[in-house]
Amino acid sequence: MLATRVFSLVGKRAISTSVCVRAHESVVKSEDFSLSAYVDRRDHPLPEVAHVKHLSASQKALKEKEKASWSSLSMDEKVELYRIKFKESFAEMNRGSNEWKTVVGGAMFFIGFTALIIMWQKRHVYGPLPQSFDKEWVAKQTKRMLDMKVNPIQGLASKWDYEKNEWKK
Amino acid sequence: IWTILPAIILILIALPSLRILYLTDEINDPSFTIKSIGHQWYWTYEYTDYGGLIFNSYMLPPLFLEPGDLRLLDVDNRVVLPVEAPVRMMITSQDVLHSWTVPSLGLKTDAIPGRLNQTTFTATRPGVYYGQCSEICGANHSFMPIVLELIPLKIFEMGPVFTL
Repeated sequence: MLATRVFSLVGKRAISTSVCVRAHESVVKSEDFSLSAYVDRRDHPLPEVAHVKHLSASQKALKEKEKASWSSLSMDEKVELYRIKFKESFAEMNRGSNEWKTVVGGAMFFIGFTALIIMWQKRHVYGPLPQSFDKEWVAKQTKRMLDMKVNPIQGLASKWDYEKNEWKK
Repeated sequence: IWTILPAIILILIALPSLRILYLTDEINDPSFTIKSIGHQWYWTYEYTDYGGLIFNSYMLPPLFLEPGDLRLLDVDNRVVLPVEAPVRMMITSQDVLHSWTVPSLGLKTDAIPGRLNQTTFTATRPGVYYGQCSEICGANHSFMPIVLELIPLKIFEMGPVFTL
C-alpha cells in the first residue's frame, strides 16, 4: 500500500499491468501472458482481441456502417474492416522465408570446420598406423589366411579360386 | 480366459523347449577335457587328462610379430587340439570375469571366478581358429586373444612339441 502511494506520487502513470494495485491487493496478480493477446496463427484462426485496439474516427465511422447491410460496403471498406480485425492474412502469415538457406549454409560451414579439425588432428595428434597396415604386411596376412582356408564355406577362403590361384570372379 | 489360456499354451511350448535346451548339452561324450583359466590379461590352459601340461597364452606384442601375423590375434602358445574329437572345455577365471570365445566354432562361454563352466565342441576342419576375450576385464581386455590350432589326430598323439 505504501509502495503504490509512493509510485503515484512519483509518476502519474500507474503500474497498469498490476491488477492487484487497482484492486487494492485483494486479487491475485495476473501476468502479461494471461491477458488476452492477438496472435497470427494457422491453428488459432480467430484471436481473442482485434488487431487494432484504438479506432481512429474514420475507422469508427466504418464500424458504424458495418452494422448496416454488408452489401453496401465497397471492396476497400471490407478490406479495411479485415485489417482492423486481423494483422496478417493467411497468405501473409504462411509465407515461406529464406531461413533455410541460412540454416543449411551454417550447417555446412560447421561441417567444413569439423573437417579442418580432423585434418589437423590426423597430422599433429595421432601417432603412425601400426605396421600391420602396410601393404606388404596385409598381403602376407591375406596369403596366410587363404593358406589356412579361413571361413571356407561363405567367408574369405570361399572367394578365392584355389585352382587358378586368383580371386573368384 | 484370455490370460489363462495363452499362459497354458506358453507353458506347453516352454517345457519341451527347456528340455531340449538341456538335452543338447548332454549328447557330446567328450574324448578329453581341457581347462581354460582366464587371468588379467592372459589365458592358462591345462591338459591334465594324460599327464600334466599347463601353459600360459599371451598375446604377441606388436613388436614381436612377424610380417603376415595377425596383430592383436596371434598368441605365443596356441591351444592345440585334434580334429574330429569331441572336446570338453572347462572354463573359469582366476580374478575377474572373462569370456572364452571362438566365433568360427560357435563358442562363447563366460569365465566366472569361483565357477566352472563347460562347453563342448567337435571341430571338423583342421586349421587355426581365433577368438577374443568377450567380457570386459580391465585395461587389456582387447589384448587377450584365444587361438585354437586343430591338427590331425596322428600328429596330436605325438605329444607336445615346444618351440621357443
